[in-house]
Amino acid sequence: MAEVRLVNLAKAFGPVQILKGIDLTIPDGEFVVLLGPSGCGKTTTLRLIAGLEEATSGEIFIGERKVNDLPPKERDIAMVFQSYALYPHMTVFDNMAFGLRLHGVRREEVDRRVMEAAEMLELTPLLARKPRALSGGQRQRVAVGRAIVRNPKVFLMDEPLSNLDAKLRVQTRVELSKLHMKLGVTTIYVTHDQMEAMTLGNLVVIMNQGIIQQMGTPSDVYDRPANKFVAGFVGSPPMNFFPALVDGEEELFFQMASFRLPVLPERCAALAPYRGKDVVFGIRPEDINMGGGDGAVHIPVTAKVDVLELLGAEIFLYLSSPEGIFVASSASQKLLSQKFLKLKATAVSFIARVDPSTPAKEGDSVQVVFNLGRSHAFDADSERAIY
Amino acid sequence: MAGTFFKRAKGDSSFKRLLINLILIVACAAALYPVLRVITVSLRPSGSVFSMDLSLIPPDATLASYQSILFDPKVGFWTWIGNSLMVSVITAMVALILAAPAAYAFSRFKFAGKQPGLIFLLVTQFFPATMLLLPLYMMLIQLSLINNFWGLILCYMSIALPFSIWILKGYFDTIPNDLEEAAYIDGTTPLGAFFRVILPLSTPALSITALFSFMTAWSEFIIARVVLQKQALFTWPLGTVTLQGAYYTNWGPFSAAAVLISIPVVILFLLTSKYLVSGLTLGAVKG
Ligand SMILES: Nc1ncnc2c1ncn2[C@@H]1O[C@H](COP(=O)(O)OP(=O)(O)OP(=O)(O)O)[C@@H](O)[C@H]1O
Ligand SMILES: [Mg+2]
Repeated sequence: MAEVRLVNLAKAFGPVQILKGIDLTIPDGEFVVLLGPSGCGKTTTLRLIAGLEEATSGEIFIGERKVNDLPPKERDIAMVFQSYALYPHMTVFDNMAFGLRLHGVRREEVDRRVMEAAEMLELTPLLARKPRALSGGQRQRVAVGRAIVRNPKVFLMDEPLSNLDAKLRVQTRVELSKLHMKLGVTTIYVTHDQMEAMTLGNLVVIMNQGIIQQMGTPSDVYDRPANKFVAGFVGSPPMNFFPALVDGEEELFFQMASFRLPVLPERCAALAPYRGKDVVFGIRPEDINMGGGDGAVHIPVTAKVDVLELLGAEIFLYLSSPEGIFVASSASQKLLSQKFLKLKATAVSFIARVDPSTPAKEGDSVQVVFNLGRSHAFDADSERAIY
Repeated sequence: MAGTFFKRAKGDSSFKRLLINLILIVACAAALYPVLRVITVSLRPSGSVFSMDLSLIPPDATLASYQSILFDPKVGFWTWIGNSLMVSVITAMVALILAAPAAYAFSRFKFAGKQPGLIFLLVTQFFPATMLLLPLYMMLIQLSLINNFWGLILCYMSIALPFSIWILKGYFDTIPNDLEEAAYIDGTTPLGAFFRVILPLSTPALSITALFSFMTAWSEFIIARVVLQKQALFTWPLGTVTLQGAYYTNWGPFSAAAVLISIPVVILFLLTSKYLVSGLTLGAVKG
């Protein structure tokens, strides 16, 4: 077991910069999930840690040791490949024993460890089979088994569940979680499936375009996204974003294309510098509710139901808000008018996640209320979270 | 390949199937007829080799020709077979030992001249051996390798190696890189991954290349004719020719020798046939 530390790690393939300076410290024994869209450099990061790829610059530490110049076999890591990469010509037993034998482990010890891992992963009846005679889920477990028998300092897993069907995926996810609790080995787990990330990781690292966007607990990244990318990437359906102008004198408002919402008093200080400027207002679908509101802070917004998706326990409403219910404050009207024209050009449509008992139908005009306490605002240029 | 061919044929109209089968029958007949004739001639008694009788097994069939080939000490059949076997087996082994690492390098590593190298190897295959005869002969004289099995093996190697490298490279290309990387992480060196993972996985391709190299050497005549001049060193293609006299050729024993010589090849083909089908297609499909 060991801490893994990446210091300003960069990787370029030819002229293309793939990783642009990653700084990351993964505490000893932690289960960290690397989450990001396809092509953002997750696999590349993992391969750099494994030693399958050479860093262009920066440093990699496993424990106290700088491992940049060590070959994979000296890094004391185990990796579960996305393709499993089981040796087709070896039995399940030999697949798991291969690494141990190479490390000169005694025969009885090899047997003992493989049997123990097979027991844990329910592979005992399959030990004599070749990989081609296994189902996807069984292959996946063999791949995990091959990693755990070695008892390495660090586990690296590259989307190990992506080839499994939905049910098996959930089941294996739970097993991996239990396994980590039992073994307590530092684990770096790559996925682009946010459900997996949120349920598996103690810590989630969100990456995009070769840069770490945010690192935190699952609830951190969900409730307090550091920027617009994280806010939009985590959560399904994604957070609704509205281009908005910050307007008002003492009391501030978010001025959207077709409606305006008050800024909560406790947020005014943070937003004051943005008065008269573009921001992006964000709110998650589950924070938009049906109803008339209280008239003061929670002002109802009228919207038309374009599409209604019933998903058993909940309903997704695809809403669009009609234009022209807008009264700008007189003072900033001149200042705003031009920008506002631009705003008007952007269609305002958003998604609400509501109770299935809602009577709304497609084509209906409904009133919804935004739970402003759970809203977000982002700088329009830097996309960083204002709050 | 055969399996998928017939599966596909099932969906075809019966006329198309009939046509395909007719063509196959004609092709088989054309290929088999000369072989059957040779067998017939080998079974005829020495007096009637030129008989016009067309039956497969002549009414007066006899094994006399086989007897004279196998047991007549003047003929030297066993020496030819021994020489041929030695030359062919060594050619096949050495070609394999040299081609496998070369093909692996071509398949996996980036290096200057990789693409030109591959093309160059292919181009060497365009020249018929007869064209290379003179330069080969002169080189062997310089190396004092005339009348030497190693000289002959060297020549055969120059034919077998490029081909073997191409076949093996094609096969290695189909083995996913992940497997070697998994092996590195499990604790092998790159060389260890080659020996413990890649080679064991490549037995089909390795057997096929060995078979082709063996065949190249086994039935080759022209180069052997130039390199080997001592009777004691003759391989069987040279040996059987000695059965042809200047004025009179003993066709019976000659045919018997031809039949006997094809036996090891047939056995080899049978042994590797399951790889021949799966291996060649595997090697051909990149991905
Ligand atoms: N060997 C390589 N040569 C050139 N470019 C590469 C190489 N390997 C990866 N890349 C590029 O690097 C980028 C990141 O790749 P990487 O495999 O790390 O993505 P990822 O985050 O794992 O994506 P996914 O979720 O699809 O697996 C991609 O744009 C890819 O095209
Ligand atoms: Mg990947």
